[in-house]
Amino acid sequence: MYPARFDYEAPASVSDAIEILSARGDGAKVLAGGQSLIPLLKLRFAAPEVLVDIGRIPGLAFVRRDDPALSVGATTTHAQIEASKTLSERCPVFIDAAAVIADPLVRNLGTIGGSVVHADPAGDWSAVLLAVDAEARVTGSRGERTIRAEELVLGPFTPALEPDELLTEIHVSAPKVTTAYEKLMRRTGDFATVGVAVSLRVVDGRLEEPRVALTAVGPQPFRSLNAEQALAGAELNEDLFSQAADAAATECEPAADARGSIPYKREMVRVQVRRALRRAVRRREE
Amino acid sequence: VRHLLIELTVDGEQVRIDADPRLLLVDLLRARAGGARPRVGCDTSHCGACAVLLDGLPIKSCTMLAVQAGGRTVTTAGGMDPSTALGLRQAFAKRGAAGCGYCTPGMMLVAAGAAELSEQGLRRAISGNICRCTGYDTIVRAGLEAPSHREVNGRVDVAPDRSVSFVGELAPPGALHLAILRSPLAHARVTAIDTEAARSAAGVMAVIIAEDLEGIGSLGIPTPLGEQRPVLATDRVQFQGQEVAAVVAEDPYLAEDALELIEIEYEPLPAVVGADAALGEAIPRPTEGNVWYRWEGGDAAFTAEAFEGAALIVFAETIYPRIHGAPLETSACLAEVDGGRLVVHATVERPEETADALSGLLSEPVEVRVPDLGGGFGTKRPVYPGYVLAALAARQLGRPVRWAESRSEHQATTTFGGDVRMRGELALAGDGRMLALRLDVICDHGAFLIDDHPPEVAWRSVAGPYDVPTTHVRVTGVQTNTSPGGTGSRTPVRTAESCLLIERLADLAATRLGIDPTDLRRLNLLPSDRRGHRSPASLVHHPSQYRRTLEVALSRIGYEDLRAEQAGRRDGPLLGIGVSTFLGGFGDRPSSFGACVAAVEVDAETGRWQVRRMVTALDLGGDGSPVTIDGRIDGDLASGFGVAAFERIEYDEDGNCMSSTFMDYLVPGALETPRFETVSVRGFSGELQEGIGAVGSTAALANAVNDALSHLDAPLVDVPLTAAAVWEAVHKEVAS
Repeated sequence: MYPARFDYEAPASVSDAIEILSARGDGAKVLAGGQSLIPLLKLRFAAPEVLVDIGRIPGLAFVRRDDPALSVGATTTHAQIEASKTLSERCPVFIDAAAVIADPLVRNLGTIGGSVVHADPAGDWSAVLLAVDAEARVTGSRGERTIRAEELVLGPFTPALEPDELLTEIHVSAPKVTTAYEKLMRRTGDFATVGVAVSLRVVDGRLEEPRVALTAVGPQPFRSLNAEQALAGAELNEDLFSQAADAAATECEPAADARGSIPYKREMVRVQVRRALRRAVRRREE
Repeated sequence: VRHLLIELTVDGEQVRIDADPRLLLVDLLRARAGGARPRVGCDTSHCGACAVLLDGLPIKSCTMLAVQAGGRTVTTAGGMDPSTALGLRQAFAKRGAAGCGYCTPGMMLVAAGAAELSEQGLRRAISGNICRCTGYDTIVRAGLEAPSHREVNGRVDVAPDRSVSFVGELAPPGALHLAILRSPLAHARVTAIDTEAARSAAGVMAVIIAEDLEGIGSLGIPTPLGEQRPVLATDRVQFQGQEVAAVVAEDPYLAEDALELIEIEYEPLPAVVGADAALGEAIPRPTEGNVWYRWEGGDAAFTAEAFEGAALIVFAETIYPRIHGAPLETSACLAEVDGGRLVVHATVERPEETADALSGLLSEPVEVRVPDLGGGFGTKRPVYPGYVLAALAARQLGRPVRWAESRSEHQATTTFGGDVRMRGELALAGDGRMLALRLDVICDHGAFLIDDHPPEVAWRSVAGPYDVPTTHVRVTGVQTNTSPGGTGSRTPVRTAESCLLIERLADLAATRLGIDPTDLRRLNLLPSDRRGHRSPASLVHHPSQYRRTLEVALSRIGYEDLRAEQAGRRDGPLLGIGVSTFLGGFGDRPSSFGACVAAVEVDAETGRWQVRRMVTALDLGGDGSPVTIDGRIDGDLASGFGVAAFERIEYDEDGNCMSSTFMDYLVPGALETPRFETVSVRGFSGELQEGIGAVGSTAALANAVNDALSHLDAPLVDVPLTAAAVWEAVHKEVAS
């Protein structure tokens, strides 16, 4: 397994990268950590004319706290996120997800930005971004823009970025501590059979701003609005979690594959939604 | 394409090379002279054989471009701090933590950098590195002990540093690379092949198709039935991945480029996939259906008579899935002409047989040398077309020719184990004594019968160590449009399969009779006064300690306490306990015996299960000569665990292999694999047969998981006991 030929560019700045992307159009592919892209190149499922390696652009790997907001740079590795004290304290769903992506060696190269833009229907980060109401900051030849998490993915492996646009950072304006990610997988390193990210606030025993996002059980990660509706404003109790879980299980659209049948995955959505909500709520007390 | 100047530091040395940007870091590192080279095991960043440190952090060098490492510092296992390396080498040697050695440098690098020096911390650190030999425990132990060795650096002799050299590390100057074009279809007529563009592509020295082989020796590798497996397909392909053409080029990148330029026209034919289809009506084979052989053993009449008089008959149908040994090193060779003689350095488990076969095929004497083997487990027994093609190319081109499979080629085209459907009936007396065993077995051998174990040898030990007065076995070997093989297994041939069936029948019988499954086994194990007992299928048993060995395993795990706990459980995970007994030896005299007891916990909500404890007691039939029980036994047990948990090669209805990478063919890692406890009876003397630990572990785990569900009246779950399958059983929504 060896990649087909390509040209290689390693721009030193975002603007240089945009210039190259604009000039090369659809033939260009951005290389971040390469942990999804390089296997695709080796399998020759992808054969771009030019790889634009953004790994050498300074200032794109960071976790920044700008109270109350948080920002994570596009080329921040999963391992860097996993080790971030700021994220652990302020929005632990990032730690939950980072710790179960691939394996420790892959996490040292793979990046959050690369993963998000890869837009795998079973990707972990997309669900997290939906749950925390994140925005993607994007730079292109027509300037900068912000894309809400809901609008960031158009379909399987299809991000909403133009060919000349580069994701630079993930921005969370109102991060919460009561967040969690629960991933069911067959073994370490596997993609999710079902992944559930949740975020909410508990105010006077009631749930506010609940978010329930699912991955691997539809053509793309999505928010279960019915589950959120079941939770919003309601009094915190275990029955409530079951109602939300039922709603999410009804709403998901899993496909049968080696990881399980449709009924199995639906039931796993139910189980994982309950577990994620419990885990998130427990964090209120920690 | 522009080449780029890449400058980086490797093991303290400045490296400057002018490289194609597509060059993978692992290939840059492997091309360096001397030093430890990272290895390639899986291509898809799952195995960690290629692990190196990048600016101090472990990464997988097969999933990074060399150019990405420009300006950075790379450390291979050869560049580790010498005292750390020494400590690790000593600890690995002491613990027997290096099996074949293929994963070892990567394991050492990663273990040395573990953030947390605890068992779980080390398991987490190496959770992206696969070992197929040891079951991880000895690696974890070595990793934990290594720091103390650092302190004694310089005072202690360096422990024997297994100086390992694999075929992929032989690097004669001027070596060419051979790559194989394989059929994308499971069954098709080949109507046209156009190699013109490939022949004129950059760096290409030769393109070989079937007609080029005419006049040079034989065109097919002989099979045990006197047929031939084509070296390259002529007018028909019979499984996905079958060899159709080969390219020899200056480097493997150019060889793969040229493969894409070969145009082949296929006319698809219906594919026969699975035993039912093979015995049905779709018949591409001119002989009797798709049947390679039918064999019948034992005494049909006497067995039928015993069934007539039985108080209880239990029936089970189960499948031992198609599995793969999946050694970390794929099949590979380096063929060269040495002093006029063809020498093939090859990854083969049977060098003499391979040399004979190659000599016959090439009509000249061929010498086969086997450097260190990066695991075999039965997958490297057959002669594969790649060896023949590389030898042929080396002879014709006068240069060394290297061939190495990708992981996908290895998983999808080399011999497998299992793929056996077994229907069994066990007749018992009212007190639980086994009276007779009847078995109907279908073995799927794929497109060619390359398996050299005749069924009369393979299916002799169907009753295992039990005293069953009469057996009757019918075995049908079928042909399908899937990869060829059948007994590429680390266990003695078909022992794991038959163990799975008899142990399942034993559990069913115990349940029906309302007696403890261990009592049923106690009653039926051959007693110690039956030395030399000749079983109906003509195996000679030496059962001197069968019962005692079972008792040792049961007492070690605390069987009675587990049963009491199980009976008292009200909530939390379901507890299941499973037992298996098995013969380890093969041939006329099974000289070893084992008993395996597993306790598992099943999460009924998700179907996931984990091993709480697993104890294996072994009687190696010792007569005084001590045997070292090292990582091999754990490795065997881990492989049996893998089969129980998730290993399975699957095909879709068109014959596409769905499990050709480690993304789809799941093998256990350090976090999945439990710690195994092995106890000796007679102090581990005697002979440690290869694969013995893998014979009964799958059956014990299958029984344990099914035992956990027994109070639910759930249907029996077949291996692999995937979370989804267990959940389906719990919820009785058996997938159609």
